[in-house]
Amino acid sequence: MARLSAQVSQQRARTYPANHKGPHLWLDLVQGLIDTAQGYLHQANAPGISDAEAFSLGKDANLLGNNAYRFLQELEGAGADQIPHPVVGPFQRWVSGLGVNDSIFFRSDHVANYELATFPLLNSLSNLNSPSQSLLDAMAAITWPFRRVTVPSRAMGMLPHFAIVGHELGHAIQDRMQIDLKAYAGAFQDSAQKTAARLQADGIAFDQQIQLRRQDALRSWVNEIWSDAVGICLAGPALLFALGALFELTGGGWGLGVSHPPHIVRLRLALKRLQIGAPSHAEVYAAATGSALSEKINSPHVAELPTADVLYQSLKQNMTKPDAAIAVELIPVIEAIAADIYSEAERIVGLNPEMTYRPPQMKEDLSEHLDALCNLIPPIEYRHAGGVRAVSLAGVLNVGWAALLSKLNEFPATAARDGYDETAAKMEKLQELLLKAVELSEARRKWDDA
Amino acid sequence: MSALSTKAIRARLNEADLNRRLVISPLFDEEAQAKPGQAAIDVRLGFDFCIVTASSFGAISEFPDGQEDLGFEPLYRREFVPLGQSITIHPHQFFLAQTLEYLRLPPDLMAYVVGRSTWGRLGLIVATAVGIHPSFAGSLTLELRNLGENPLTLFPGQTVAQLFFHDVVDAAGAPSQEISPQAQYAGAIDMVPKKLSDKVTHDKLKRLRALI
Repeated sequence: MARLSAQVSQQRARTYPANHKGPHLWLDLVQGLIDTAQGYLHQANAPGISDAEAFSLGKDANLLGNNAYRFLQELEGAGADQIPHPVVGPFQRWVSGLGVNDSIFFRSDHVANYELATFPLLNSLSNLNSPSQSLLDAMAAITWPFRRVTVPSRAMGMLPHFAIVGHELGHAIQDRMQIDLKAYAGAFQDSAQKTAARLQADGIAFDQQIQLRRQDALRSWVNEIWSDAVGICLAGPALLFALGALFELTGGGWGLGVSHPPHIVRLRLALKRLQIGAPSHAEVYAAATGSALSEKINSPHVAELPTADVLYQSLKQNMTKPDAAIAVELIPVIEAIAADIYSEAERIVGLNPEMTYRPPQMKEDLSEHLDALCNLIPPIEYRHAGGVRAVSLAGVLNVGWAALLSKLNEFPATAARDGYDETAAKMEKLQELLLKAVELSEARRKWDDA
Repeated sequence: MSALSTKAIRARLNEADLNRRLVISPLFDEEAQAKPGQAAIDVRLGFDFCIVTASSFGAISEFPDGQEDLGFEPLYRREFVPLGQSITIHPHQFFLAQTLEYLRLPPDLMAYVVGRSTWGRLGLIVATAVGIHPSFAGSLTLELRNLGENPLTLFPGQTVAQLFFHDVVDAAGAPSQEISPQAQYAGAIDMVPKKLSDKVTHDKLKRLRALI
């Protein structure tokens, strides 16, 4: 326990980016567990206690110690030297702007994917016997559930890809979605009949269990589309590009399962939304870059879906037949519901008007900063006669993507670096400039707010 | 050699032509950092520091212990100090810092960075590599050394140095348009130096060394 406490002290001494209090709240919780465990050990050594009671207390202390150690591991990657630290402040602005008051911290890991983890620990911790005062204080200071956003580490993380965090934060507010799925009962019923017919042909009865699995699958799909929609609201086309890149990195297949709708469907739905408005995001992008926004602009290998029959025959090679049938037949359902999901996300995110990244803002960002970025000027702030203001995270992401996808050849050649070809060196330079932009635009905001 | 007045500096900051625009960003308080009637602009201390630490490395050399490539990264410990927090530089300590501002000089301007006299009187030397070449783009690395007798607590966001700008002309006396994007520090973001010599010099020294 003393060693664990020493580790907690070491972690407290670290610098966490953006003065973020999340890691400290988490460490308080870990220390509270350790103190509680030490209290158990103290009781076990009290005079007159039976061997059985002492053994039981020792076991409980060991369990708490193991949990404390596990919780410390969960914090791995949250330090300023591990996570691309300039992103934490702007991410926290997204979190706060969405009205998510849950305690949260951000960390990086050597992974290619992004994750929002939720730790609903309040009930289990509340049931502990003889909790230490430090644990009670730590639990009271946290707004539950505790959340954690994981982004790829420095080695894996290109800043423009971080638009995916917008999607992950969508999951944090999916409970606010108010869509009456009964309105789609007809489509869902039709899908049930087609699912049953497929399974019947394979000698499988469509039973209650399969029906429940369909409902779970639909819920998961709706949540994924909802999170895409929230990400589109927050980050605009940057989310489309980032999703495309993510799908491309994961192999470019269909990406279809009971937990996720197909990649191409998600891209298509996102693009459809970006084409709405006058001007739309798509029109703004095309005008600034000369390239049309398309669903596969950053994911040429994402596979188009074959016919439902072919898809089913293929999917059931790698998943159960009921899951394959459910996935195939949910596609028309999610396509029918998607417009409402997007509208609802726009309504919820729009409750804070500053959170939605709109086409006029994108137009200003691209016209002010795209060519400038190609001249090694990062998108930090706007200088107009009326004053100076900071560029938003969404602005940096979209300028970055536009440069990456349409202007990289205009980027000045950079000094050769070991292991980098010219394109890679330019991308690396772009990444550095964008990180600088995020860091300094956030600094501008903090200074102005102080 | 003429120096730009503060008014001229500010005009360059608002220049529409990207090729002629001077970028110093963000300028938290332009009025205070570029005072009328002067000929400089104040810059602030940034967030990243590279602290020189004791190491098991021997002398810093072009050819350390017969090895070809010299990496300087192990000589430094990195510290990130956010706005609102501070770092203390002790007497005779040396570390690298950056300007908070990102700079991009057009091809017809160069600059000198000079420590603010207030800090100088307290013993803090801010910059030794004082010349900034045309087309430089990046955060400026400051070499901080405390020559005083008292520890100095430094806060990111404090103004620590001034930039003086001069026109650069070509052989005909016209504003220079010469761009050297391959310069070692073009677009430099990182503080840690990459190499002591350019390749030609390095190879020459290597051959000369082999002759002995």
